[in-house]
Amino acid sequence: MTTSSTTLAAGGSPARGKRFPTHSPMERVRRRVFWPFVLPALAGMVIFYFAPIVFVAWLSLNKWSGFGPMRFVGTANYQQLWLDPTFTTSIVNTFKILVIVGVITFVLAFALTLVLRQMTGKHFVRSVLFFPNLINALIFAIFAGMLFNPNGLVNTALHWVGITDAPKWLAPDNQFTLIMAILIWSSTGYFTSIIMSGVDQIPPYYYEAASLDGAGPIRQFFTVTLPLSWDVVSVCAILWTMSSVKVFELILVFGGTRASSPNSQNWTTAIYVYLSAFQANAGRAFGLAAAAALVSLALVAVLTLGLRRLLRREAIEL
Amino acid sequence: MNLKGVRGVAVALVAVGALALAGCSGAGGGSDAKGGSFTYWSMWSEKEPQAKVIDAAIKAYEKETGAKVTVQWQGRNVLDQVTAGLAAGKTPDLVDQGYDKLGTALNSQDALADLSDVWGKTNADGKKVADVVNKSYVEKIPAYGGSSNKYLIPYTVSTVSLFYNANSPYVKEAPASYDDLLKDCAAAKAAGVGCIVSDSDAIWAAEYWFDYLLNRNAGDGAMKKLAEDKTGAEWDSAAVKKTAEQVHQLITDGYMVSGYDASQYPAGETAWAQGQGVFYLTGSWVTAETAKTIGADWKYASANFPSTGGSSADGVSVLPFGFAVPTAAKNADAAKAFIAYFSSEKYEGKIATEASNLTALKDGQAPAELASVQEVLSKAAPRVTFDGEGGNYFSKVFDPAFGDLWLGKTTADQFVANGKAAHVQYWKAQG
Repeated sequence: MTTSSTTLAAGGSPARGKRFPTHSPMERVRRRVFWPFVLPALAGMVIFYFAPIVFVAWLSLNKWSGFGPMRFVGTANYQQLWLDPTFTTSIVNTFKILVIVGVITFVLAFALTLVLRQMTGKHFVRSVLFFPNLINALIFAIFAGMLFNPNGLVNTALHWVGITDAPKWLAPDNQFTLIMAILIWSSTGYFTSIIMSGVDQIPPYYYEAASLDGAGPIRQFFTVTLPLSWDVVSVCAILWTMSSVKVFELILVFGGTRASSPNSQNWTTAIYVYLSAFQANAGRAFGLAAAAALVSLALVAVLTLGLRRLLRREAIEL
Repeated sequence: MNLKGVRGVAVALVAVGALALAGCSGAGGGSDAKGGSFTYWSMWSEKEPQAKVIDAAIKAYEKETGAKVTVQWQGRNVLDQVTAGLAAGKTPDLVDQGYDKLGTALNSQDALADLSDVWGKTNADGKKVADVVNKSYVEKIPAYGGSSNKYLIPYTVSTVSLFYNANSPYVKEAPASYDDLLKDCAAAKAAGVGCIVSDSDAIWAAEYWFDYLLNRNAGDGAMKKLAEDKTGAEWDSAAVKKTAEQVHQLITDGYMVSGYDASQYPAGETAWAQGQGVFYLTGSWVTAETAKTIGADWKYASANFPSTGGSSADGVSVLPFGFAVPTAAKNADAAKAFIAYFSSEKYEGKIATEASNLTALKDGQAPAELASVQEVLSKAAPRVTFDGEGGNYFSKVFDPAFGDLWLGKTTADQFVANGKAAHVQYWKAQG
């Protein structure tokens, strides 16, 4: 695995070529086709990715309603974000999803990996675990209303077992906790599946050797499973970071009933951006939305880079 | 679209066309419809009954004038398309939506034309629009920062009023005063029945209580003052305090239906239609939403929100929906001609008879389940919900503060303090 990825990196990088001052025909051809191959993708990146970001950066310094003239306002939009407690709440909520949901999801995923590795019928169980991920988050948001209403299924079930004083599941104070629980439930299976596919690559003789040395399942996990699947785990961590800041539709629909936006206690930065620009009966503040989007982009970039540094290890040859 | 789909649409179009022909076989001719093609982006989806009513009028108009109307049935998010279209230089000549959405998205940028002259035009029945359409529905709508508030010709309205079951044992007659309402609630409570219906996450609907109470306590424009006075001084007014105390009293007196503080809309509404709870202060859309849940002994009744004695204000909240013409429209005159044409008993009247909504006509029929609402409308002057306030101010300031009060987590004094603090911070952030 590692060997092949090194070869690929060398093939794709012209800088790498410079270290070998050979001018073999192969190398020359490779250099000649470099730009024709890279250019289309690069053009796509620039037009559809970098140019919009530059436009958003410019937009964030203006007031704009989506059409008509823009009015330059300098850093006023950023000042407004700074002073807006709802934006602070949105950032805190985004971090809650990233850290709390992330940690619990990964702990569960590892625990399941531990159990699933040697279980009979593990492929079936894996499919079952993966299933929630196939369903759109919107469905959970709507279904939660039916499940957790005061007269809903959950309370009825609790009533049968004698609990009459059930918690107020859907009360505004509890909504975000419930949202996080749904996220954990729907993403655990997804990450378990990816991590398991990494764990499946580990040759069984490592485990045999470890158990001959007297290592129990927990010890084996930390000395065999985790180090040998580290690449997969760190990719999962990055994937989670990026998807956690995009959590949107679940919150938009959860407790956001027709004719209204979701409770501002539940907003994340993604919701904040959307509602600044598209609140149904409010003016459209595209400048403010752009500023909020840039701030969250910066957050993701910093987090992802930080996480990558943190998770960087020498890859272990299998 | 495959061939089968195309054929299906063709059949539907022929059918609608035939209906339209049948509809206009009678009178007609005397209208101001001089023709001229135009494009129309609609807030309705093609299969909704409202779309069918408008489509029938379009077909008749096309036949009568020889004009070509290009329609896109966009659905509720039509204004997102319109704003995107405006940025790209592609604008419809005619759009429709509620006054608040049109106002904030378009009129705030002066992107909607002044439609004053439409009121003087002649409709499909040969009558002057101003003589048949109730102009008072749109006279007080906010301009939202635009230079004129005359951007809307309404063809349907929703209203907010107090709904109850006419056969309820706790409501002998429509409450004439706020005290009467509380007495009815006390009677219900004595019988072990909750009175006020609400859902914990539908704070926007619960806020109608505050809106009406403040209006009755302090008169028209009180909510506007509360939201727009940047110093926040209005939050300390006696009327706001009294209103908050009245709301708090509903909770402390135990008049709320049980579980209202943990239910998700429309659970409370559904329970109400099945006989739990008495009064539901909500929009006239409730009859359509609960039509399939009501029991056999149910008869929709509604009353205007009663007076508290604090002021003479007794208006009924009206939310007008209707046509508007973007200033960038190339065929504005043609669009205006169609607005006038449609604003008639013959076509707009079908909004009531075929789409079961209230029309904006002066003496239009109402569907049976909305008859009591139409009666309220005929007696009380229209007012604008929340005096036209809403949007992000509500999300960030009013909803959180009022939500806590409504769910019994704060007292009236805490509500005032929290609301004022958030209000001051909001306006500070706005710069």
